[in-house]
Amino acid sequence: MANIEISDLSMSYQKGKQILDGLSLDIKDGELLSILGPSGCGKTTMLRLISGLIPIQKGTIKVSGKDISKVPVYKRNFGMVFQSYALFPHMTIFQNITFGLKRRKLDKKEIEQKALDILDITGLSNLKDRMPSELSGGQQQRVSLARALAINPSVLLLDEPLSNLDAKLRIEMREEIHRLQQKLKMTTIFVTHDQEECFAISDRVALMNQGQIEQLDTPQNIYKNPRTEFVARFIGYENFISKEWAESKQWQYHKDIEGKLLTIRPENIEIGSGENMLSGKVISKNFLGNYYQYLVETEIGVLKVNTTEDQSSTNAEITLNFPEQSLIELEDK
Amino acid sequence: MRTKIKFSSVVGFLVLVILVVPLLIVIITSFGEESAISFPIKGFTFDWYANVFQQPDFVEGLKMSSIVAIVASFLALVVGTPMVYVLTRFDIHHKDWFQTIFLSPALIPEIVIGFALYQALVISLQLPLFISLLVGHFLLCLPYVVRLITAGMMEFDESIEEAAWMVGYNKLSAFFKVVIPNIKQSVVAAFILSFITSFNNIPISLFLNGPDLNMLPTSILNYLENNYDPTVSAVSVILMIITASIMIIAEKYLGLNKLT
Amino acid sequence: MKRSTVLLLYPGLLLILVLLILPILQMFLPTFTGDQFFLEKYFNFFRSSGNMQVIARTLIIAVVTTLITLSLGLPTAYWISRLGDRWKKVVSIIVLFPILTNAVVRNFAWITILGKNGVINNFLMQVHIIDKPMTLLYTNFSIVVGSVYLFLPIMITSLVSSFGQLNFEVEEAASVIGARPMIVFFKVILPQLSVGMLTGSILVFVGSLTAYTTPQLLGGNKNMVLATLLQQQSITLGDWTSASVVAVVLTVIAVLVMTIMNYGTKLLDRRNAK
Repeated sequence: MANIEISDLSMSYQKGKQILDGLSLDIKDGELLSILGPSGCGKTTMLRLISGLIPIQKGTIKVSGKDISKVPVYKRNFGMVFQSYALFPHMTIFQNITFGLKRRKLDKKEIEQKALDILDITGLSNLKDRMPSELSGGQQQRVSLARALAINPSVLLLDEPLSNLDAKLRIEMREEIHRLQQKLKMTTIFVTHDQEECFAISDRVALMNQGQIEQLDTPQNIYKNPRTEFVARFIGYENFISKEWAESKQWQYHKDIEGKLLTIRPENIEIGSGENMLSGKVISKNFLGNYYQYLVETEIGVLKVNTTEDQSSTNAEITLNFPEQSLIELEDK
Repeated sequence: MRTKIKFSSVVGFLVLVILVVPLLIVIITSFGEESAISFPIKGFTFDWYANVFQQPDFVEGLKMSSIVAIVASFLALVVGTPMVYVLTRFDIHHKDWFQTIFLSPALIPEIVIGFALYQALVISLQLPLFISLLVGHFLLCLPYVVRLITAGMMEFDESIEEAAWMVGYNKLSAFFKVVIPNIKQSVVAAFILSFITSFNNIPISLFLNGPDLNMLPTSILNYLENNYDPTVSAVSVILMIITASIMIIAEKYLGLNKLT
Repeated sequence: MKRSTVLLLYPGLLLILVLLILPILQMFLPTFTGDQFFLEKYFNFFRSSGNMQVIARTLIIAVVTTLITLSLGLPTAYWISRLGDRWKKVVSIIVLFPILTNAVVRNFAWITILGKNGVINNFLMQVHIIDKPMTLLYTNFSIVVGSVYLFLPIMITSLVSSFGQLNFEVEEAASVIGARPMIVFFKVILPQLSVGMLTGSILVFVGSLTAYTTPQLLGGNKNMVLATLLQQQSITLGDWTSASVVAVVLTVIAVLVMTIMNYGTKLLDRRNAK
């Protein structure tokens, strides 16, 4: 098992585009850390740098205290699960799993035993003689995971492993990954653009934007206390209020960091009176299944308000309340 | 709409007839008894086939053409596959430039290649004819290898190769254990097409053959200058049988569309 | 890591340089020397009306062959692309077989058909339409026939693959709004095929421009083209410098035509992609 220390990692392509910009990050032994961010934020590049699939240009990566920058990819002993599964199409499932083991100094019996163990804990025993093309997407991804785990890697890297699966399988598979990770206590880096799957299984989340980490925290903290406007927007905060304006109205808000902007989630705005009030007119109302969404025009612009109960109708003049604990101050960027 | 479909069916069918009939005539004339080719034939005989195998130029030519085609295709694959691998897998400066150079043997007229090689390799460098001939056919095959292997590499998901690196295989062993098995079809297709192209080639061989080095197509060409008898029909039928066999093999292992 | 893999390109590069580019240069260079000035040999070459005739014949045969294969290939490819899977396969085999068969065989077939005692003359004499055999073989006509026969399958193959990508729904949409079949064909289908037509035309045009076997077998000694002239100057007459001039002229024409037509294909591709 291993911890990873990444310091001052930078990467740019030949055409001068900066992909990673002086990024540092520590991953604890046995931790499941997610790298979350929109496409193009550099998260996949970072994973590929850690894996050794692309060479490090600047910065260092240490695993268990040892600099691995010069260690070639095939000697790193990391497990990786690819978005496209990337199973070896010309091998059976069993051969896919033993392929990496054959490179290690093990005798035939040990290899077979190890493969059977892995097949067993991933629930693939009955598929071991099939070819990858005969498997469903979910099964293929399970094999991909089994193949990565078979070599007993010091670190497990997951590159958007769920994005090619349908919604139901995605939940099933992420639970599977979580279960195996907990069982094996394996240091794991999980790259995704989906905040729900990331929050569900991660110990910590690194939210990335433009080659830098915007916020590194537990899922709960990121959800409750986003630090920047980018983080807030990415995880579903849609209403932004100038702090200067709020102060002029003597509003009370959650003070943690110093900035110019306040934010609140649509479901945290209440219809009715309270400590921080603002009046407005409902310009649209939509029923979205488990909640109603109102667009309310106010003196500071159109705000989004979600309520579980039907509380108003289009064109109605209403009063909104912004509870102090839900109104969060953001850092400038 | 109906009139147009009718028109294209008629033309299409006629074109097929035009494509097939001349070859049928050749097949039929190979069985005629008269010593000058005539159609329709009189009598029926296999003698001309026997005569083919009594022509040392044809027998030696068949052997030499096969050897050259196999060796040249093999060399083109050995040299071409790693080049294509690098070109398709890595960000290389001047990629287009390299691509153009590797395809350049297809840009220059074959007869010019034969002529230039004869002057440079045979006359100036005094290389043995056989080596020069191999060089010519190697150059002939290379563009086919480049084109087909490039297509194969484009279809191959590179994460599969990366997965092999991740589980402990270095680039060389991953190339042989994972990349090659997965582009096998393209490699076989490239070999078959190279073989046929080399085996059928005339313009390059024209300059690089000699008294002891006969290629089958140029031997037939020479034979035709002095003779006009059904031996040529018979050897043509043998060539058609070779083509058909290759097509059957290709269809069985690849599907014929891989060859076009 | 990267540097070492790029090294794999160099053996191939070196081979092509030494085995192809250098010999070609070695062939080119002596043609650019002369007593008066460096293009003297070319002036002499082009001043000869015999040579100009050869160039004209070569180009005309290539143009005519391309046009005929194109006009026969289009309806054929259209027909093939609308066949059911099973027939399509049979027909594709019939088209592919000649491509893979030796050119000597295919040209020889036309000797037996067009010759003095060939199939056509024999038949026409038997039914008394003519009483003396016509001269069909060893003419420009026979070269064109042989070239068309040689390259038609290649044209059909490139057109069929282009028809394969054709969106037939556009055709249906056009006829639904009332366009007549001929108009549909010329205004809707043909533009979509332009890239395939150009690709096929490049293959056929350059192929027949540089072909040796067909003019040699079906053209005889009187109807020379550049390729046969090259062979005659070098192997028969042993005049290597004159042969080199022919080789340069042939190469320049071929490369020029290919470059222009490839550029055209790229332009069309880009326009169609929009």
